[in-house]
Amino acid sequence: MTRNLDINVEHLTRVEGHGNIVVNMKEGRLEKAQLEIVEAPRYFEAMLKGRSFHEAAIITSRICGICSLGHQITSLKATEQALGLEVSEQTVLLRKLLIHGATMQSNVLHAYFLAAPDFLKVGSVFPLVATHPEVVLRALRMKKLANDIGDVVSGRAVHPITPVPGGFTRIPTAAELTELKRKLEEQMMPDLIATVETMKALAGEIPQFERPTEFISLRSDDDYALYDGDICSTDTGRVPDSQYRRMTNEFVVPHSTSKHCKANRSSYFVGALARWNNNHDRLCDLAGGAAETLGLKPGCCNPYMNTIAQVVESAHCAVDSVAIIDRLLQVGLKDEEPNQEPTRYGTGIGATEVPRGILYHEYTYDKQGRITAANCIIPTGQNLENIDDDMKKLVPEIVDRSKEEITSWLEMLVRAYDPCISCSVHMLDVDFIE
Amino acid sequence: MKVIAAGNPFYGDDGVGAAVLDAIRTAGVLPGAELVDIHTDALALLEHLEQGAVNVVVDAAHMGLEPGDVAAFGVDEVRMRIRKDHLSVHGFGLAEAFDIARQLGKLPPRTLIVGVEPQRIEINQGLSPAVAAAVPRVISIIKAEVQSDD
Repeated sequence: MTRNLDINVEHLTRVEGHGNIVVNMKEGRLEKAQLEIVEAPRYFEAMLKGRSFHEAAIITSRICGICSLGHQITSLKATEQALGLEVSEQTVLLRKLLIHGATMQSNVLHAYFLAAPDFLKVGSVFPLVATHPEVVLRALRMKKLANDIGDVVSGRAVHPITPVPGGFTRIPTAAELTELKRKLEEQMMPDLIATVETMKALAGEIPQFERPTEFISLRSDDDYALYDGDICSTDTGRVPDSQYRRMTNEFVVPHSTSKHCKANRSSYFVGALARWNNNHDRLCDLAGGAAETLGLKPGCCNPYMNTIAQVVESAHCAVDSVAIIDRLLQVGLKDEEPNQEPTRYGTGIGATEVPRGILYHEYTYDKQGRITAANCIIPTGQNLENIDDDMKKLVPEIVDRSKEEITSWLEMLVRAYDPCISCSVHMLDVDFIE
Repeated sequence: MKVIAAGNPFYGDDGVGAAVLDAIRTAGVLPGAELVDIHTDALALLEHLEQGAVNVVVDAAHMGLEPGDVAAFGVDEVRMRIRKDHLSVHGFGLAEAFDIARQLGKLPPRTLIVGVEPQRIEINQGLSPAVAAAVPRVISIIKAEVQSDD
């Protein structure tokens, strides 16, 4: 093979910055295959310094418009650990419900708006709106219902306002939760089953590419770990979340303004596929059946299957949401005040599975309850080195295909991870029609 | 009437929509109007546009005007740049949401966009003086829209 290849896909995403796919091959030898991130750093950690424990979660929930809930919950957990604030079972259940909603919303959007157009080779979701309006409407219906969970439990879907350190400022009513349960059973379940059918029809279009890598997610003894658990690696097993730095090892690369990470190999994978590989035995029957229908097997190392893992775990989130509501109603909702009396001032770590993988926040507080140090490691940063490693294996395997096809496979690969490259600003670009 | 704000208040002038909602609440104007902040979840627009109502969407917009300039326009009066090469769902913005709404027949006939030309979009809290000064003008435009509704 003496092929020369020069691929440079520039994806301008808003004013914030962009991610570019860059591949260089000279006379059959791969010189470069990487995702370049030129997003300006966000300095949220610096913004946190000096802030009180009441403010931390409010600020971090603004890091990202789509992942706000995950940042908020993770922030609250870090603060509570640092200040020794115990939370009730009711608080934990309500937070788990919120995470289910956010996970379903993100997974559904990714599967329908990014992955499905790839599998159908239509370039974007926009042609699908015309050709498959019922599918797009289903996706939007599911997104809205997932958002409703946020509205009912946290007061506001995108930027939750009632979850605070130590609990909630408002507890949803039994009637609200009962209505939510009805919608989950009557609307979400049929839509999820239809989603599995839609994805089954498209599954034959998923690129066949495998690269064994290390998969890291949370794992707990009693459920499909999203809210908390140990850090679990397919290579080395479980360690407590206090070991997170040893499992992330952030490092700087010249082609990215975002730091990369590694653990036991050159790179690792976080996200739905990592959760599946580590926790498939914790899924409910509906999700297990969906995995079987969609051909998702334990030990899967095809990154393009991340979308399928997202659909599978969405089914679990819906079923478990109903179980959580049942439990809350059975025990009876208590009008608790949040526990905001610190019992100590020190360092705390929060680790949560957000849609794109494990999110870590670590804060240190002084005796006035103000933050003196903060560290946030987001899932996309953890996946960047894994994406580069995927590209380096993928390109030589498909080098005989056309440049367009190679480019398309690379774009699909990056999209499979749904990276959070530039999400904090969404502004209109407008030209007036003369 | 429904006033829908979009944008991120932690990114300087991108927070103009939220500032307008705050100012409406503080001044107690537009009684009866439903105020919604979709922040950066642009696709949430599809859940909030209301067929029978006047919908006003407030956002910072690059329009080639001076910082703080305000322009009100209908969706069909402008060309909004739609990006079709998204690497992530994070890239979906209002232009894309309006396009989907139109295609699905969910774009109410009475939808007005009020754009404010930003001065600075960077991570900090608070509006630039030029954009802060534009907030009362945005509210006047919305009030005029309500009156034309009467």
